[in-house]
Amino acid sequence: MLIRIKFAKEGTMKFIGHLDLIRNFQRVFKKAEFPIAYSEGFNPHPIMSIGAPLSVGITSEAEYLDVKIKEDIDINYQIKNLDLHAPEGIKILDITVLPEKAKSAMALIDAAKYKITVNNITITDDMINNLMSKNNIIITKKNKKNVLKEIDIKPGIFNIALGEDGDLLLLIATGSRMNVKPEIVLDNLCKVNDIEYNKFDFKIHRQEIYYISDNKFLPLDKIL
Amino acid sequence: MDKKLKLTDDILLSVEKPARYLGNEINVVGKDINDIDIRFALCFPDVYEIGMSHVGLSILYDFLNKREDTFCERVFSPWDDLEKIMREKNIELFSLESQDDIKAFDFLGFTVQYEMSYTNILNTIDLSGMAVYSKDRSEDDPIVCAGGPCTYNPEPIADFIDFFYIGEAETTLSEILDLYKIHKNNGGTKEEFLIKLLDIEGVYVPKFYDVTYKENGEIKDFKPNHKNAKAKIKKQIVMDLTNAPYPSKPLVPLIQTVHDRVVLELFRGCARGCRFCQAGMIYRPLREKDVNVLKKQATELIKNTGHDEISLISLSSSDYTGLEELTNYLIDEFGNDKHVNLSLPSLRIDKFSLDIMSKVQELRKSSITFAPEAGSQRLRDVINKGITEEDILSGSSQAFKGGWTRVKLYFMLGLPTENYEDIEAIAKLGQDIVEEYYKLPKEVRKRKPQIVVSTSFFVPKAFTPFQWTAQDTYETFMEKQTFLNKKINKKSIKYNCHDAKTSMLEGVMARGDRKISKVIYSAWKNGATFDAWSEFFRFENWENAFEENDIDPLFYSSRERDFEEILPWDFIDTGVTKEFLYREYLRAKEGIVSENCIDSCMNCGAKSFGGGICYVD
Ligand code: SF4
Repeated sequence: MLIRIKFAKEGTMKFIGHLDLIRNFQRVFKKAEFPIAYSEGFNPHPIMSIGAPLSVGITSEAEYLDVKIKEDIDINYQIKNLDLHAPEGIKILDITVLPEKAKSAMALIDAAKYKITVNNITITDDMINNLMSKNNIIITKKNKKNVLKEIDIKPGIFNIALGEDGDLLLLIATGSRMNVKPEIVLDNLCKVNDIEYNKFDFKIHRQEIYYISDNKFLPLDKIL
Repeated sequence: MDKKLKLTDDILLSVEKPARYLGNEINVVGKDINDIDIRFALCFPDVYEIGMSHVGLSILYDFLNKREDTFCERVFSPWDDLEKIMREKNIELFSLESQDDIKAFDFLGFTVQYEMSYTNILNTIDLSGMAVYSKDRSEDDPIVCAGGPCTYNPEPIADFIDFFYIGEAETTLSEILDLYKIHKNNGGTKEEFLIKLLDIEGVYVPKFYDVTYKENGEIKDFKPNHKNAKAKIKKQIVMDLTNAPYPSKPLVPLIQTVHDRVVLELFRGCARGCRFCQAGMIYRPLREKDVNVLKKQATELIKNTGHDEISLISLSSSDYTGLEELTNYLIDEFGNDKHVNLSLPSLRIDKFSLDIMSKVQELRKSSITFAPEAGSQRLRDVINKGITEEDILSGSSQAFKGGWTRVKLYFMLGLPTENYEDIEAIAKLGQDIVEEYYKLPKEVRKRKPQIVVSTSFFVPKAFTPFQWTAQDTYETFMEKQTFLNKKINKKSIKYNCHDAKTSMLEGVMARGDRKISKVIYSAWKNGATFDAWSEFFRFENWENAFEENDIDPLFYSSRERDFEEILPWDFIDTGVTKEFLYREYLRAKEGIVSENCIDSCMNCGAKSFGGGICYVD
């Protein structure tokens, strides 16, 4: 049976990279005596995957970990149980049982929403317009064969706006079909407005991860 | 609430592996500074991932924090990227737990595991904003102390350390802290405290001893200059290991370190008596831990850490009397659906150990390791390495039959009395093992065997029978290596060789006296840190340091000593007598082997501790 665990990654945990995070979850499962399933073969490993790995330095209140379990679980108990054994900064928020033929988080993800706190500089509506009024926003990126390629990321920016407290809200493409990093958007926002981009002026926080169904953005654990 | 960090986000996000500096691990200890009397900064002077893999550190951390009046926090050497930023921005070194400056602590204690970390000790003191030489530090600075295997010859770093603790912490370290607490409440100078320390067994305060030298550079006299200073410092060891405190909730790092695993300590000490091995001598006598306690600890430790590997450690695990019982238990208990692997380093390769290993290891990946140390039987007898050619060949043959195809062999070049035939014998032994493989019927030989020969260079150490011997010079080492390299058949054997510069420096430090302090200081001033890391090691720093201080390194490394000479570490009493060591040295030169403690007692002197293997029939 497959389940999807929703968790937050906050505080000092933001300095822990993806591979180490997975290793930490393995230990959490072991300590919590959680019935995770192992792969077959010579070198069995626990079956789990994270949909959209978070970059080091970014916090999140909605990360998703898909896990295969070998027996039924009491969901309410396990949320508390896992949370108890998780490192400080990892908060277990919810567990959803996935239907038999559910797509993996990785295959499902279309978008992510970020809340970005801006320090030292001020971002205005005009500045956002300067970026979004462009026909395309071209960046160069190395592809898998290490060749530089030009990509237009504008179609990947679904929404960009200022929040009430001056925070920047960003809804951008994430996942295997198109992936736009928030830092790239911020860099380009600064560039069109002739501001020097300093990544430390922006504190990035992920609020939700979505998939698109019937033109609607649905959180990853909202299974239809 | 978010932890208050010493380093800002922009610094943490611009250095490699910021998690080295956070102190947010699982099972980390937190205490309210207002509720405690003693703040102890415990430092492993190397990078976080190395220090965190060291079980000794974990034992000490647990031991000190079990005291309610003490808060022990950790410090590691910042990696060079962070060090650069710290120096640029004048950020002082801090502890991981509270993230407070080291200067705010009562003690800064180093665990000294290898000579090549000496410059990191100096760097740590300096980054903490203190003077490197003890005599230049102020009353407000923490008291700097050190312990660990290297401090059995404390002299090369004596000028930087206020006091040394010789031996295992579980004995009189507590008395030191008790004394400090009273001292702190009553008020008094550092000097007064250090004088009080002279009453405690195992403590060495360098400033209360004077050394004079003869014209030829040898020590003329080493004696106390304070009436309370003991003429001999007796090493401290735990006799009842079964009931000694052991961390049940060790720290679990959030990032990958060198070893992420549960460690069970089977015993301390060693019964074997290899003549080159310092650990085998200084930790005598062998003291076992009860097998039932180990079983209990295994369960508890897996539960409290979530690790997926248990490692059984000791200097020679095959000698553990409860090994079979323990491994069977662990395999039953954790092997199957619990998915915990068992690792058993330092096993002798025989039928029994191959059986265990085939149960716990994935054959495809694992390799069999032999450490014959010398290629010829003659030289193995000289070093008293109780392993015969027959053991090695039949062990490899059994391993090949059991499905292993990878064999690793470790040797030393430059052992006392070594000649070129002995070196050639290394190549021959490797080839003989290859041939063992081809003796197998063709249908079982699925792959080509992989035989890897590695050599290191022999470094004579204090408190071993070879403490009097001359180490080979750099040139001789390299000649020998080149010779061996030509002799090894590269078609079937891979040969790992090294540069001998580090070994030569180790040779100086390991048997250095107080004059070497100046050399270490100069080398550090010249830019030496992380000397154990080949990417940072620069020999020029040291070459210049010797020159600046007009010190000939060969006087320390490549000089044969007389029995009568006062050795810099003679004032430390490890229980093993100098007479025994010398007897062993003479036997070595004649190629006479000595029995191990299991078969018969050689009267080394360690019986004086009143327990352990010396009293087992
Ligand atoms: S006194 Fe005998 S048994 Fe005890 S450690 Fe020494 S040699 Fe071994």
